[in-house]
Amino acid sequence: MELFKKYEFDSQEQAESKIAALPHNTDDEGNEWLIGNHTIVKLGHIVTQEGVYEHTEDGDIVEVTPPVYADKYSVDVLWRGLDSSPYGWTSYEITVEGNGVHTFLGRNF
Amino acid sequence: MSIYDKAGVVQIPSGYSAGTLYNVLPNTADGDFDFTRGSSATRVNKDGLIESVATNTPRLDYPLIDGVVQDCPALLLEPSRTNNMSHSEDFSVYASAAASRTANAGTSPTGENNATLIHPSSSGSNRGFYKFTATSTTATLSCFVKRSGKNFAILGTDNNSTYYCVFDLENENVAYEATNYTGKIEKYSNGWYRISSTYVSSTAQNYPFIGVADNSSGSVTVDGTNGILIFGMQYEYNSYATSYIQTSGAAVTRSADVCNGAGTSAEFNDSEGVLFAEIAALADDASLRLIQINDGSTVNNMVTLGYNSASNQLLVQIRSGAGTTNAFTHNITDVTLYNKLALKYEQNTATLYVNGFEAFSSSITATPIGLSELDFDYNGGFPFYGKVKQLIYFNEALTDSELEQLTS
Repeated sequence: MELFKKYEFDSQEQAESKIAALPHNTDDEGNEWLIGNHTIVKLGHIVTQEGVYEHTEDGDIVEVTPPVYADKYSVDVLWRGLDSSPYGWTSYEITVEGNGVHTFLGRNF
Repeated sequence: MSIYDKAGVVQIPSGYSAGTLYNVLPNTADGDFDFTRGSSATRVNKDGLIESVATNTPRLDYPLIDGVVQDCPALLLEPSRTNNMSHSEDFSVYASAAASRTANAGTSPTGENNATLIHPSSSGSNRGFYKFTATSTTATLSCFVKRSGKNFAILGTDNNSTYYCVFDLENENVAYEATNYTGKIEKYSNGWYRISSTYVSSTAQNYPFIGVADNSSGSVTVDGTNGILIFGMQYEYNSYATSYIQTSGAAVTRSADVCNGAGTSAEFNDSEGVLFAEIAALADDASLRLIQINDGSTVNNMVTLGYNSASNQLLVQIRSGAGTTNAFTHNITDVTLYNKLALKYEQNTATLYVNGFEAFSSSITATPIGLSELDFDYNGGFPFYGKVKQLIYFNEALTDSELEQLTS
């Protein structure tokens, strides 16, 4: 069973700390890996408004208006074996129209 | 008596259903691999066409050699990857750099009439299409291309020779690589090629670009609608391209393949045995990619074989009762090619054969206890990602002659 959730965190550091707090395994040499086969996609600061670009006669692409990036740090997760967000994640859940800027192959949000 | 009569577990990719990869041996439900993948994925089918495979369903991928589909498929196990291009097939949303396009102008690698023809609208350099997409310090762009009157394709992060590679589709080679960029060309069926540009650069641009040219310098002359067909633009923030991920309006992620849990204690011998694999890595990326027999719950008892976290290097580990891990490494020529590997363990000794020759024979402290499960990972970590033609476990120690025969 999979659960598709979208999250917005205040910063990348906050998102990384939430991911690090999930259950991990460790081997004898100290290598760590996430338990549970969840798929975590760090989308980062997504573009909320696309930039405007022109192609000059000389063949160069020129940025007329730069893109606008979100202040929040976005993460999409396909949780495996869970029926709700893990402890500490629920308050960062968001809903979007359609799939937003990202989805998982063959799935809709 | 055949050597295969001594096998306890035989995986030759052939039978599967949602959630299960069937083994030839043992012929019991407990003997098969459990398989999961949270998303759908794509593979090359027996007709050489790219097709979708449903969630939780193993992929038997048919190799293409010089564009010709081979008879026997391989099990394809891949990591999670995201195609960051929001539109992989609809090039109408890309911006033009003095080029024209015609949608549905030819049969694509999926067998459908959904390839796009691009050609220059004026003579000059760096003609094609681009779309703003955030960049990464290491990433790989890939696209399927086919000649349609023009012989060269351009792929990079800007329509500027500082940021792209040029591909010669007639002579099937990479004609130009910018500094920090590495090109690759793979031949598919029906005249198609998959080209890829991998860069390691903090100065990559935000304009993934696919273009058409007449030569390695990237210039082109208008000649009616002569150009190239394109399909399946993909942008992965990693050092190599993986199987095609279709997008249509948003970035899309394919989840990782997870394949483990084959066999029971009845199939494995704690005292001696051989783990044989015919495998190829997806890339020489110095990542731990491991296949393991263990006691079903921990790595206190295990026999491990796979790729080490060093370039073109194999790793062997044997451990008994949470004691010292006996670890050995062996360098090989190219992990991305199919290699036949056989690891024999018996009292006091571990022996590795590679492609018909003994690689090493070393002493070990003890053999594992309670072996009961074969996994394409290391207790859930360091999953084996690659291609598998055969994976066989023999529950007795084969002779040197048999190991040589098996791996030749």
